[in-house]
Amino acid sequence: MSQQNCLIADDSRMSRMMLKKIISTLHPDWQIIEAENGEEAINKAEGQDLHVILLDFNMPVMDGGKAAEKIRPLFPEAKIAFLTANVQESIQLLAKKLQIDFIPKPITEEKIKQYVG
Amino acid sequence: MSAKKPILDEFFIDAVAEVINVGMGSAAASLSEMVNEEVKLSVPGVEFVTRSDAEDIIGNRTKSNLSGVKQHFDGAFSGDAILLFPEKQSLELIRAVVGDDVTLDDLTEMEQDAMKEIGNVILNACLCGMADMFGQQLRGEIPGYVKGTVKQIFTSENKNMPEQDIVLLLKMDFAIEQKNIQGYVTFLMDMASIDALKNQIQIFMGVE
Repeated sequence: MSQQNCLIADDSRMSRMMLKKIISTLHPDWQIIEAENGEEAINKAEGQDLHVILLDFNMPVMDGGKAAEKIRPLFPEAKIAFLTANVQESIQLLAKKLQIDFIPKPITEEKIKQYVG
Repeated sequence: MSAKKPILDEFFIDAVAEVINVGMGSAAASLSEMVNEEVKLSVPGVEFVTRSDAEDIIGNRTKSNLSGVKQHFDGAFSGDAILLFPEKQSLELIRAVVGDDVTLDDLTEMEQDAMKEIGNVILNACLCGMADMFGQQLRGEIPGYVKGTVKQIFTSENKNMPEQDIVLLLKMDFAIEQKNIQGYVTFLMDMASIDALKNQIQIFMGVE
């Protein structure tokens, strides 16, 4: 099996830390790439073979919605989700429109395990 | 505090309390997931007071400095949502969320970031619950960490807001395990926004 790569974009260091800890425990061999905003996520995604992408929605510089618009076509096979506290229906509808999944915060081991497998 | 005269009619306050209760129910569920245990949350007080009265009320209840999160929101109505905790309790709350395997040094270092994220989840649960209830959208800005006296927190970045503008003040009690962590959520809104909120409630209740 080829190297699995996961991109986490969240402006909260605590969230990135929690996600990294959960995913690394589940899959110690995965490479985890971190970004602090949507723009950084796009830059870091370039040239990578990404399998799982978790995007916070409300982030400085570029939000998760704009990042997802650019990232989704680049990785048609990847599992991509908004992982956000912004649980408004409008954001959930946007996720559907962008053909990505929606995971409501808070981050829990169970939710992440269910999503990344 | 009972000497303060009511500035908005009882029906509206009752309706707001109900709307807020829905939002706070989501907030309690979110916090419970974060700390992985039951969180008892109640909203024993919903008051509309002026900003200066709110400063007195919180200042009298909480003698120490406060820390918390402020998030500006706009859309169907706008304002600043602020989550505040007595400073000493904020580390306990963060510890309950991140677990015991983080050292005190790391915990102190990440205090601001962790508090922002806790506030992000709690305030968004409340705001999103309200937005969905009204079938409207609220756009929340990135939350910011705040610290200091209640007066310092209320006036920072709100210097142009008259002291007599209205604050929706909620007293929110969290009870997590043996820790009695008490927090406050306030919504700082000007009169135009209060009217917009009132209008949304009237539409929602069909009493236009």
